[in-house]
Amino acid sequence: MTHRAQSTFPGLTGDDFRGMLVAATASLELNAPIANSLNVFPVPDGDTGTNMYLTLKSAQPALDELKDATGDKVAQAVAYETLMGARGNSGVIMSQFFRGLAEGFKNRESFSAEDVSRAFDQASQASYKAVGNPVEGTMLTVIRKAAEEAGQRTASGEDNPVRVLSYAYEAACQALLETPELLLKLKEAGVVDAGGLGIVAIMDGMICYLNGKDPKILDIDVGQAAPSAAYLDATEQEEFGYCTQFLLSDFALDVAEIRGYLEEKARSTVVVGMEDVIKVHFHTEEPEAIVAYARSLGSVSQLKMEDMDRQHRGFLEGHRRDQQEEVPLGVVVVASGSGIEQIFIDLGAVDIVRGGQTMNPSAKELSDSAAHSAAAEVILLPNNSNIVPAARQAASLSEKPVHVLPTTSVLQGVSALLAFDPEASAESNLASMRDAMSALHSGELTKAVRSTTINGRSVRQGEVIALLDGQLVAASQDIEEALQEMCRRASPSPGNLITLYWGDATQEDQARQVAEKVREWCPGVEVDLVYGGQPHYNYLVSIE
Amino acid sequence: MAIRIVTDSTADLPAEVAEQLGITVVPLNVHFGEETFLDGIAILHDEFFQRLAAARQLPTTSQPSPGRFLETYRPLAEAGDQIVSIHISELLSGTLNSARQAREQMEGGSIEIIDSRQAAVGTGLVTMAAAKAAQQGASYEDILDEANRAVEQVQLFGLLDTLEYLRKGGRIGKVRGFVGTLLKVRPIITVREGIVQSLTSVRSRSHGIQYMVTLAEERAPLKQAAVMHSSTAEEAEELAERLRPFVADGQVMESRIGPVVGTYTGPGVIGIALQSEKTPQSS
Repeated sequence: MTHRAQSTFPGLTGDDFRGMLVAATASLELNAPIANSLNVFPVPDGDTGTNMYLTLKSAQPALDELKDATGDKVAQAVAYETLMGARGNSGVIMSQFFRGLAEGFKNRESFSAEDVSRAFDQASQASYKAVGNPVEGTMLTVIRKAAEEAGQRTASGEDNPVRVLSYAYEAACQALLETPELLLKLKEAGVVDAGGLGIVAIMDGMICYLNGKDPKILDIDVGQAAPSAAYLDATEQEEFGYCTQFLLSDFALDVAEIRGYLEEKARSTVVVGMEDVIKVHFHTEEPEAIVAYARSLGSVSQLKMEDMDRQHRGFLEGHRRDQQEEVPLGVVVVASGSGIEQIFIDLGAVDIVRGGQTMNPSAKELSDSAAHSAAAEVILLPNNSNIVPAARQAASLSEKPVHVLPTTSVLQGVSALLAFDPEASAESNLASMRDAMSALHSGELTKAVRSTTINGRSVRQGEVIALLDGQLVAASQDIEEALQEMCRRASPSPGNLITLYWGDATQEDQARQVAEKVREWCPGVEVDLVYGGQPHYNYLVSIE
Repeated sequence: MAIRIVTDSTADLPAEVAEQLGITVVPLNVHFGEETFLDGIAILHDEFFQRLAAARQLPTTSQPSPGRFLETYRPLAEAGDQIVSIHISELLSGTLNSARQAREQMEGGSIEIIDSRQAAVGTGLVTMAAAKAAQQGASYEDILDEANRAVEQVQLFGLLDTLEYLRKGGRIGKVRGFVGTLLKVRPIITVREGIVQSLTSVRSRSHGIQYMVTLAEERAPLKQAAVMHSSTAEEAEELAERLRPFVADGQVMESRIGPVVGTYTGPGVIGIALQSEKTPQSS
């Protein structure tokens, strides 16, 4: 790159402007990864920096052919080329910015200080028109502040175009740092605006060129770019494993490669920063391997690993109740079995009361749970016919409005919860949840604890019995035989779904074999095998 | 002088339908890393979904540049044609903004730009409503009315394997409760007020398809209907067959989900778009 020696300027020529644009492109290329990392909604898929860089880069071939052209010719060319090559919304705004500049520079062979400030003013106006609803705290504000500063400096007698541009640049930097004050989502994320940073990068490149320097990575605090704790919390899903964070530093880190690696190995990954220091955040069951990988690249500091499983279990114990966000309507369920409890949590239950067949919670336990839950109004799923009366009593005891949907199995409970819409009224939810719970058959396989007679049929102690919707359909020494008979009675049609929840006394590989058998017995039926972890029942079977 | 209908590639209109109804389609862009493809032109459905399955990093997309719209509008306007340009919801893409910037820079010519407040073949049905009116010789005003009516009446429903792609692409807002669960659960989404929303979840594909058939039945008689799918033509045909009785003219268009829409739905999608005067309470 050729540099221009600094001197007092009679005016910026076409070749000056070309050089400035080439340098601005280089500056955008250098700073694009930072801009990309500033994406705030809702995950780091940010491409603002890349889009701005590629938009300006698309003007490059045309600029190369404009040696010795007048300033206005160069300005027109960059306006036209960026219009054609605009990528993404930030690219479109940028193309309008250049269009405004070109209008301001119309019929000017070279640019005086006054031309520069007029062109910036036009550019600012054109940029605002480029979006339907201009929002402050974005690149628009950065452009406008720069234009205002240029206008004021010229009005108070500054006649050096380079100085006007430098003042405008300083105002742009200041405006960039203030973007979080203007736009709440930036503040929440703890970042400055990505498009605004792109504008600053363009101006920085231009000024570097005029000062005979190479374009550089912007001198912006990485701390600014690192997501705040609030942002990380907001991106946190309810997951298993470890929430891991650290800083990684070395003289030349390949951020894209590290990000690619992490996205393959972990979830909820956030990688931000520059080539010498980056901040890394991710969720995984096995953080050690990834930390070891990071150590092979550079030095790892501020390492933090949090056990999300423990946080999750804390929820089960009810410890998170006070941290939970208050909701207008929520579902409280009765369940037991670690897998089934987890499913209810995943599906959005606000609280779980441990209980079931041999462990009926009292009305007081149920009303306490409703009272302490984070919901203002509660739908209670007893999930067992023996618990329905206590649930109804709890509803009458409770000060909050509590509605009982008389589910008689956890399987009905799962179906009902799937149909729950937190934004709809309790009444409309009760209707759709009732439809959902009655749209399936519930099967249970368990061992008879004593010899008895059920539905007029004698059952010996230790035999496996199969119940379908509460009715005994089979008793056998062999679990598969009992299940096969249950499937025969339920006679699912092709396209139906059978879900097998295996209990705490069942082995996983055994459960897999059983699921395979069910697939053979019921051709065309989808079979899903899920860990339920429930006591007493070898299998719970939903047929829907 | 004629009235010309323009849309964008996210409308996922089959080429023969666009040709028959004289619709001009402006492509968006799909980016796999450094590589850029014109949606539906340089990259087609099958190749896209193959690459999507193999890609280490998800593709990204970008709206057409204002320049691309300018290149589309200019020859039409110079021929003295009037233009109705119908596009994907502004809340999902900057496409509409590019179209507006292009119109700004046109000297003369009448161009009306309409936000379909829809996506995928939902935009497709809005565009087709306008194009059919144009073909029947309706006036410019009547065509605009027809399109704006369709914006109010078209609904889109899709059964996805996962919301992950929508979430990663930042194209879905708040999703109800669950993110991942041990249980296999498939989301049904809709486009409402111009944004993607999760409607409900079902346990299996056949349940989801049944759910969508019921939605169509509740809205019958339908003015227009379409099915969309990413790569399950047979299943889509069966679904179309089940929708036919609910459509006034018995026609159900079949649409392949293109690369740009596919970037946000992921593979394994089947869905329907309906135009009905009836809006059931439940929706």
